[in-house]
Amino acid sequence: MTDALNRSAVLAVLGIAAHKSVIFTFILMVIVLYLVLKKVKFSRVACLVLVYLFFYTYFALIDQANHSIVLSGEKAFSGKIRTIPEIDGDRLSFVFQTSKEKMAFSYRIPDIISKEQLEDLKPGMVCRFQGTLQTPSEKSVPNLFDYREYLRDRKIHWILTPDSFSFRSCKNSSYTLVDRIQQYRQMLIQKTSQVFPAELNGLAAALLLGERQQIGQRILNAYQSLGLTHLLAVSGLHVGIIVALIFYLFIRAGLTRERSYEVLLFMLPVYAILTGAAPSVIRAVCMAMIVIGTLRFKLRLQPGTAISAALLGMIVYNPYFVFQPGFQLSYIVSFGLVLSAPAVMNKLNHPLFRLLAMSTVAQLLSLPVVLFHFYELSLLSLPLNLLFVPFISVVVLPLFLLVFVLSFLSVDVSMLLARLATPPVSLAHQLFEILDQHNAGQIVFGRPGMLMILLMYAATLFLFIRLEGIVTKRKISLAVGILLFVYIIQWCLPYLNPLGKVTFLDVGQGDSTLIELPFNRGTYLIDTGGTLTFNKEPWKRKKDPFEVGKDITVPFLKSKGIKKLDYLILTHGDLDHIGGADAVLSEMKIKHLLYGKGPLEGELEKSLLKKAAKKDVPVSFVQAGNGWKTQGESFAVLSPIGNEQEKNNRSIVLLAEMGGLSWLFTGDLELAGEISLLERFPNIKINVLKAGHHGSNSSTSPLFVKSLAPDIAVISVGAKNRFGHPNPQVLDTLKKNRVTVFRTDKDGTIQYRFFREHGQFSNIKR
Amino acid sequence: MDILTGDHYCLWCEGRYFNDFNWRYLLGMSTNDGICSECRESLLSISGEICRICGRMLNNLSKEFRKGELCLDCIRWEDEPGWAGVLVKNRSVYQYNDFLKGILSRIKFRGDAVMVSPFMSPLKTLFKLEFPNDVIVVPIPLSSERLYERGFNQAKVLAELLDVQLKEILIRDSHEGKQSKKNRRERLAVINQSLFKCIDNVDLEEKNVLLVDDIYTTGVTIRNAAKELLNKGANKAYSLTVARG
Repeated sequence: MTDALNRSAVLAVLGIAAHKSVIFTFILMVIVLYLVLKKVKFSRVACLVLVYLFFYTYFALIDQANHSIVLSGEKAFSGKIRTIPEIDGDRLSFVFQTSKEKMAFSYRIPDIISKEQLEDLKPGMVCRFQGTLQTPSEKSVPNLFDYREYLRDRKIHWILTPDSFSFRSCKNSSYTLVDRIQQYRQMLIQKTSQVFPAELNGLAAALLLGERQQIGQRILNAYQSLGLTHLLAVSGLHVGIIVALIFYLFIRAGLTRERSYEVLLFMLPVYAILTGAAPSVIRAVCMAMIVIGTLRFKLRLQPGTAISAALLGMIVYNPYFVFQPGFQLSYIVSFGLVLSAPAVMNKLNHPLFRLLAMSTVAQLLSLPVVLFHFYELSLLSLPLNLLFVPFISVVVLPLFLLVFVLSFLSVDVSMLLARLATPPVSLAHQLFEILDQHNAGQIVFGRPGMLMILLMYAATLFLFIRLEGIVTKRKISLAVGILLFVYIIQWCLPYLNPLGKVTFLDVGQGDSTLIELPFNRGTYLIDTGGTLTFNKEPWKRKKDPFEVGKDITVPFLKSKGIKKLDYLILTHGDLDHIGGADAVLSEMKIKHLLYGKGPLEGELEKSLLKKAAKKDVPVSFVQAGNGWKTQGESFAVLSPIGNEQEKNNRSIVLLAEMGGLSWLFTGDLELAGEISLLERFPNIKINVLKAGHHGSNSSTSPLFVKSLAPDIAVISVGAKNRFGHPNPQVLDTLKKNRVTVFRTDKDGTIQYRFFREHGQFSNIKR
Repeated sequence: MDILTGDHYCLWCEGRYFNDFNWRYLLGMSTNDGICSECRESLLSISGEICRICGRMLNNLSKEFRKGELCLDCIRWEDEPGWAGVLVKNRSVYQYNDFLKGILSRIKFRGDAVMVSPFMSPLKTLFKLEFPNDVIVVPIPLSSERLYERGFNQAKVLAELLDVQLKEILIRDSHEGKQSKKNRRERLAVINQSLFKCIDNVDLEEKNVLLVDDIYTTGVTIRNAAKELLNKGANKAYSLTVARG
């Protein structure tokens, strides 16, 4: 029967996941086939299939009901602040609960006085104001974070922007218990900054209250890329320590065991809300409650029962949990550790070997999920985990807990104690930052497809099963070999791919085009996009402001498994073309940087070329007449000549023959440049034109279009940009010449995929 | 509540226990052998260096009782005229300790035949590992009186665990006493009397046979049976037992 519970949990997850990928239905069929071959009773197999179908249908019904009932034109809003209001720079955001549905509240605070006032907002307050509804932006770059889906999975369909908003828009209300706990949490988070020195504050808020906002962005990034983020999540370990501590105190205070268990059962849900109720917290608390419950009623429990029951409970409550990385990692790792424990304990005696084995198990199990969400792995992850998991859990966490509790008695004493932890923690954080800056041990695997993830887990399970049996060198090396083989295949995918791709990334207002030639025989990035950042007043500055290079271009390259760029071609010195190059230079290996010949005048281009020199990236200044060939493709630089006066006309113009089409990438080339180009190359005909200067009427002149006679034009342009790009004149010119137009503002990322001489365009939106 | 908590009752000690919760279990690959981990750990497997013929562990024998890869017992057997090479090899799963003695006597003398089931998977493993797969499996028989007393033949029940066809081609003479009540001298005194008879009309020509029994102690029983089968034309005789006394 426990077997039934554990298996039901697995099948329930499969049933829900089947809505995202058919591969999970395939896994179900494999399981059924396996059970039939093992001659498991028909009724049992049927029960399991029923569990699968039940959860499949259950999710379908819930998903169908997950739509907005609010009309987009609605203006007047009243409702309650559901989450702790978050203020980042001049941005105030929280989840707003109206009588009808939840919304993502987002407001730009106009001045610093309002900001100070708004810091007093509390969860549970009732607000009334005028505002506008916006649909969350649709996913427009493949593989990357899908904000609309993210909100939808949380049953949020609108972004609500108030016309004006101040502290006076909100009033105290009759607070529920949950509100009060959240308010207490908000108070405690503020308290951490008074109790802990600045270097520890962020870590303390994360460890004690599950609040990561206080940690510096660079340290946070370092934790993430070194595979240590799980240390910052409140999880089973925290819950275990807290429960043990409180239980001990109760017993000391003279409570009976039974009473202590009962009180703990009531306290645990409070603790979950107090620490932010992330999936990992809920899992740990549910499991702790099940274990304590069985202790209270003197039942015995198989180790898997608590996990499976907690999992089933959570996905019945909210099936969307299944799609959250935190939920996936938390369950996969905890389930895996429990399953591996018997073998590790039986076969290894030294505690160090046991720790090593358990860490490796956790790493192997989380790796496919980590690659799916973050595309790369750090080789340092295992050794660092070995070092820091005991450090954080045995030293730092109990110490922080003690400091925090003491601070309610005497701030001075607690401060003194907290100072003790400062040197090792800041030393560790410095180390993490340095390692992260140098991308030490990072291996880019790209985002594995569902089939690859399935193979990764199959190979991992095969190894674990072999390790549980009689261990011989031959058996284990075979299993390890298969596992390595699967990961090597994933790593090699770009080299094995016979398809070529030309991708016009949606980088908003700006240009960035990625060319991937078949079998990895060339990877070129033409421009990187760039984000305009105003020199904001300090109070307005966000902790981690959006920047196209760091947030779109680099993650996209990594998600494709691209480890190096053969050419980074920066057409000219405008920010919207090369602003993201800083991030690309820091994060990617670049074999060659191409820049147009001509005087260097801009600060940005100078600093970038300096950075390239510092990173030992060879820079070539190209001009008309340069070019190169690969097996099947050719690339020719048509411009600049080197004496152009105006920056845009200095753009590198690249004529490419690939995938059966001729392409002209023009950068921001304007009329004068176009005329010069036509004079020098009067007979060029092309198929695809990357329209110059985002569709501005200073480029793409009628003469140019008529002469080149393209079939397709791609305009890389931001939605609602300040310049009114693309210009109606240009669109008109293209229409008159019967050119099919793709626009990144409407189509999102545009991709041409080709095999030998044939290919097809596709766009992510529309 | 057992339904929820996943308890089982141990076939041998009747205590409550859980299945091992591990990867094999999750994938339905663990065979629930019906006994608790304490009982399983009380069984001592035979491992390390063993006697080439009788399969006893050489590590815990003192020097004077072994010679090369053989134990002194087997050397004496091989020197005995007419007995050399009768038994090619015996393999046993466990060392004979008090715990196993208790289990085996409950099986044999109290009739708890179902208690053999935990032996299935180790017996099968050893069978596949050590013996050619075309052997004819022959359980050591009981005399008819003893069979009547017990109601079943423990060697046959054990042999059935191997999931292969059995050939009950031996008959045991009824006038010898219980082996387990005799000492070594008494047992060895009768080595040259034949204890077994092979039934007629069997053709063992060029075939290998595997004798199955609960325990190998002095080897008299098994070698006697083996000799009878060799006389009937069998090529080689092997044996497989649960315990090596």
